[in-house]
Amino acid sequence: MLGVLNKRPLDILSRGEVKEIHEKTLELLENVGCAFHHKEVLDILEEHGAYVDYEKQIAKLPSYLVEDALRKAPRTYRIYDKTQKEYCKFGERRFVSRLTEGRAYVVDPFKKTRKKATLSDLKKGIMLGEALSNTLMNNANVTPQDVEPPSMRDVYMWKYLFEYASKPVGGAWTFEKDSAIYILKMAEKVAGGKRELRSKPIIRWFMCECTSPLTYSKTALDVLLIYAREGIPIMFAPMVMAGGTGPITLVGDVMQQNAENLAGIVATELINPGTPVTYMSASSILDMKTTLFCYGAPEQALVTLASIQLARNYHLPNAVMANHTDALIPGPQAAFEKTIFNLSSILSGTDEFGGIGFLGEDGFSFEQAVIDDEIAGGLLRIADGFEVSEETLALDVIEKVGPGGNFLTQKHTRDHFKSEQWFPSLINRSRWEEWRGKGSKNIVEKAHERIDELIEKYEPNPLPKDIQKELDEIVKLAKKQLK
Amino acid sequence: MCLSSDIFVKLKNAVIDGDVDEASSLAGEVLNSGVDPLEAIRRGLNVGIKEVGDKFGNMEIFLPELMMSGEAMKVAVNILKRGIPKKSVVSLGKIVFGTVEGDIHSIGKNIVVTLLEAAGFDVYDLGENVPVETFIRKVKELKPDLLGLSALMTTTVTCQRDVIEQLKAENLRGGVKVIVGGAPTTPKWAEEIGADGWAENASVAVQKVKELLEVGG
Repeated sequence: MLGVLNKRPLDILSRGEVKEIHEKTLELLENVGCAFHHKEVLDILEEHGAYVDYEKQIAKLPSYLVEDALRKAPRTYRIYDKTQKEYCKFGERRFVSRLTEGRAYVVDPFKKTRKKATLSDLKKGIMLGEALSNTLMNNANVTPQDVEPPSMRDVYMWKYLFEYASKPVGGAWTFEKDSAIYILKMAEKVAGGKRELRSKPIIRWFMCECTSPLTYSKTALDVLLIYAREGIPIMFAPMVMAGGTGPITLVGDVMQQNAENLAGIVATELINPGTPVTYMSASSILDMKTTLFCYGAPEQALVTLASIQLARNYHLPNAVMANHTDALIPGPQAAFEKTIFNLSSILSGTDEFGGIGFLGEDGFSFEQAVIDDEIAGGLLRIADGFEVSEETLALDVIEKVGPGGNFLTQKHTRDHFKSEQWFPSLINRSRWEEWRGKGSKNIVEKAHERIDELIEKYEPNPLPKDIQKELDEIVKLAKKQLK
Repeated sequence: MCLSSDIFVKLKNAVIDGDVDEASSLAGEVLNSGVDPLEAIRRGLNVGIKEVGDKFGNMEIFLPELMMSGEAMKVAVNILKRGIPKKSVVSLGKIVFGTVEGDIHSIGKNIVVTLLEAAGFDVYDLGENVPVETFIRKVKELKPDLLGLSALMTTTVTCQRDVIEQLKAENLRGGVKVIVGGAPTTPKWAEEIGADGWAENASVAVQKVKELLEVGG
């Protein structure tokens, strides 16, 4: 589950520029501060030296608090599968891939319709996630809209993940503090106890939301307190809308977002020093013509590149909200937008990227998930880069073959071709006649056919009976309380 | 050109240019010079904002320009109001707006509020994280023609239903139109909860409000 090491990330900012952004961030946090709509969190911040205005609920953070937090936040951490045998590791630029999380609708690309996601779409998504070969982390792809009351939905997402997923889970949604309590209880049962859960976490919180500019809501902070106190890894992803909730000039958003991430991380490390965190960037533009917040804009890719570089400089585990698009169905727009974002994700040197199956306006598509998984394979090939050695430079082979010769019969070719070439299965590599002979299918049609095939491969990995029983009890209790 | 038509053109241009300072100073000039403030609004500001609205609809100008024009309009109207007897009808209607409880997202709502004000409505923005009780209290106090509810999260959107239910419970539902909006809302949702209207974005919202209140054109 270790992913592919990204050996040479692109630094889009110069060292001087990184330094300037960092210094302006510190200045911003010291002079403007960040709003935390939660008295307990404000108390903790004040106790440790922040200047708190309780009426405005704003904490101004002196730079030493930021420096302390950066020291305490772990440089690497792991997320384990439910049996705690396999793990994915973050903080080492290993480009781990993740199924998307919590979408509200499932899209039919052929009828061009969508329907509200259900528990059965959730189960199907998890089963598909197990079979996708380039997707290292599974997830709750959808938020089941058929679960009532709505406050139970995230509890069911995690219940299904514990029951049906075998891979480590990328980090499903937790919406409120009441559900966090039950999700934590379930995780503790599955892991075998609080200590076991903390030392080998099997859950992660996607995510502590910042409402830009510079505001953490009571809901987000209620959950932060619950999870951080148990050492559960916390993911942060401000979503600044350039020109709306942040400066119109993109690097200003990089800086504001940096401040928002760091403010959240300061709070986390004060609540419980050593809690793992993941720094992300979800910021993009507010389209000034249509007023849409754009998930597929090239500007998002640009901001991400800079943000991830900052995270790497801080030695913070980080992730890219990859595979974003404004396309509502699979097709050329989705392909373009996902690819420019994903490619810049690799170049950024991030630890992980998600969004496999993501479509615009809260959409999920099983076909898109299959396509994104395929594309992930291509991206991983690029991320793999080059190994330069005598063997790979192959001077001796070229010498042997000589001018005008043929490499196909060389042992060297046979020895290395499987690791040197990416073998796509959906991408068309046929010529015209062969393609017509096979039914003239496009990639979405091929992906559609692949879905059932992949789901058939699913191998159940049920929880031990006693743990399953305890989980059912917890869910029953949650239902009673969360009405 | 006589003074009043000259100043009407200047007011129109101040709105089109989004020049808040100029709009404000011209409004002061109107009050001092004895020109009818109602006429200044009708033949100056309104002409300007209509042109701006049309241009935005045609994608000839963009959101920041629209917002600045809205600001200029709002500032000028607030000054001119001082010179208008309370009985005269200045606004197209009274609207109360807010983001529901548990939700602190504001920018979408703020864009809609600005556009509604620019269109000539009197809008009372209650802000964010507004409890049901506050909406009800304000409806009783202000007796608005329309109530606008904004929500961005699937976990808070249910509050829109709660507000409508409470209006019904207190026999207030018939006296006010309700419009809902925000990312998790859909026309189906609006219908399900018994709202009078739904809008996908700010421009559509203004149109829908005008239709619901049968004003403006």
